[in-house]
Amino acid sequence: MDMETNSAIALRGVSKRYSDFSLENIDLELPVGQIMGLVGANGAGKSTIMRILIGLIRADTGQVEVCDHRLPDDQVAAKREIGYASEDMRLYKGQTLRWHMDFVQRMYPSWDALYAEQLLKRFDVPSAQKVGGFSHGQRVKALLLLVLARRPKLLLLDEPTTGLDPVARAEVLEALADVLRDASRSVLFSSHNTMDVEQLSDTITFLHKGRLVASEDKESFLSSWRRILCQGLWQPEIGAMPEVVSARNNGTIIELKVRDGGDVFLSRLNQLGITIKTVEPMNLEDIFVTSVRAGAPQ
Amino acid sequence: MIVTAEEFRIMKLLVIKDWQIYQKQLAAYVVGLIIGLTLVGMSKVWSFYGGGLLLLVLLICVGGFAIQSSLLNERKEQTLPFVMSMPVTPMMHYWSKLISNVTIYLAPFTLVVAGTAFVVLYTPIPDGVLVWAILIYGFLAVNFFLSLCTALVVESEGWNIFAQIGLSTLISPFMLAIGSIDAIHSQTRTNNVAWGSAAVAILALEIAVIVLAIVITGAIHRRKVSFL
Amino acid sequence: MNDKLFLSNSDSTPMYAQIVDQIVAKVLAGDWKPGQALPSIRELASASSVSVITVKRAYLELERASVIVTRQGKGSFVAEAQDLPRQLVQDEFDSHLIGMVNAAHKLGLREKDVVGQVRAAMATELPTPAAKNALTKR
Repeated sequence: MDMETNSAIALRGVSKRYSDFSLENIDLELPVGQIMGLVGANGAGKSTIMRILIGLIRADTGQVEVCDHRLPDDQVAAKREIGYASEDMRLYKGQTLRWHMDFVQRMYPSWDALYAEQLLKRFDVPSAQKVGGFSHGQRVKALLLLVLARRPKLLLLDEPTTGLDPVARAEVLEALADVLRDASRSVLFSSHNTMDVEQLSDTITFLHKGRLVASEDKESFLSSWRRILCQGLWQPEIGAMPEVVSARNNGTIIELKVRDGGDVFLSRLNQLGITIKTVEPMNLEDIFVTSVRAGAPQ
Repeated sequence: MIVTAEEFRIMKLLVIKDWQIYQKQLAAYVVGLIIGLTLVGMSKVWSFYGGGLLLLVLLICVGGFAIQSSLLNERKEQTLPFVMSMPVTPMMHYWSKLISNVTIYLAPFTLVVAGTAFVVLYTPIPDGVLVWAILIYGFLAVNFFLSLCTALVVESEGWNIFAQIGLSTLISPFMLAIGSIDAIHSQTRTNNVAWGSAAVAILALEIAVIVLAIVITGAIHRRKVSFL
Repeated sequence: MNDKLFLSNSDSTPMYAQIVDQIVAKVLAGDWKPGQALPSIRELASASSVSVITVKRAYLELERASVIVTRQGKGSFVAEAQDLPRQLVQDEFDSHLIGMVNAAHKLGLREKDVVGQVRAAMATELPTPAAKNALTKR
């Protein structure tokens, strides 16, 4: 059908204002079958976007569509397709994980009991113990189990790996990798650990103070940014070149962080009498910090 | 409001969930209430007042407890996002909370009213006491519904506690007030259950307040499109 | 799982390049025979816990290097080309050559110095590890 978009998530011009924070004019699209990582410091607006997408809060302006369902009107249909887990979500302390599994199974026809048992083993969480006695890691894994075993079309995971020990983190990331096999399933997850995001995401979105700094596919992100260490006489022309996002110098040692700085750029540096020592790729964390500090050009 | 079969099924699951979570504590309350009824039925002066007091206190507590555990704790213990992310609208959530609280409260409430009727009618206690007792129980129900509706609309725990305590302090003035109405008071010494116009008016007022509270909170929730 | 690749976050080589290297190594070693079907992009991504787009990029690079061929709607296969191992080694040689030239520029070496050093290195049958490092360092 022509009307059907192929997006798991489509936000257009979405704003939400609070007294101390506001999300401004967010346009965001996640194509079906992709994994998107939301990167940003605490208070950047990651959780607010997630809550808007699951219909817990309503955007002041703009359009929100999830799995081809318009929010808030179609929220029940949308929520049936979404698996949402967030850091501030808790289970019923006095009940066991098994009780929660039974509850969720009755709620959603898509529940896969076999997969649930597999996850139980893989995550090594006790199903017969009251959830109140769980450690942080067990609690996070229990929440993810309840969400993953439904095999939802869209996973919204707000900080799923925060506070987990390395072993639990690896287990969670492997479980998320299961989702990749199915081309009709999509994931939006947020983290301030860029390593986790870097590994699994197809697209990366940077948020800073309620604004979208950049949203691009990961490989072009990683391949367009370079850290160049060079030597020569510092001159303001270097910092003024459009490719240069950040420039620092200490005497004749110059460190540049550049976008799309190809051979032409390097030869221009040479023409300025600068000797290039190393050109190396940057990791996401470095890219994020550099773009935020540079005043977030799109 | 039109409820589809699927919406009804989901709401039923939410109500059952609330029941399952609070069934153990509820059972303890029911045991206490049965003890209270037994004391009343022993038809000794001390046991009548002791048992009656126990019934009053437990009925107030069971209402407060239902509201506290199913509404206020859901916010405080952060289980609310878990429920809200399920395929429910704020309206469905409102109805399921209303139904689960009312049924959790009505179970012990009906037990007490029926038990009181039985005790009053089949023991030497004057049967006329029944009208007086039912008006008091009615007032307790009003208290419960007002507290419940406050909790459904107001998020602040402080205001909710204020509402519950404030309403509870009105109970003894109410008992004194209806005791001073001669038409009702004089009946308590006779053996016939007669509903005078004063008693009927008070009962009708109680029911009207309950219905009004539910309608108002329903209207407030109808306008809500998202949870937070 | 048989098709799992072993990738590391702490390796300074980009993820996609790690995938390329390991697949090339598998093809060279004969783990994967010419004409054999490769795991689908999603399958390999899932098994190796890495994003789909990264595996996609690795497959594109491998296709460009003629290590694999992709047939529309059928997936990717190890290339049938007979001289594949030779081609791969040639590619490796080319990249080292570029690296050497770059390093020579940095050191400010003149052409005849470089040629002289290459000649000397070729004269020794097996380069010492140190000499090998000097040649391959980029």
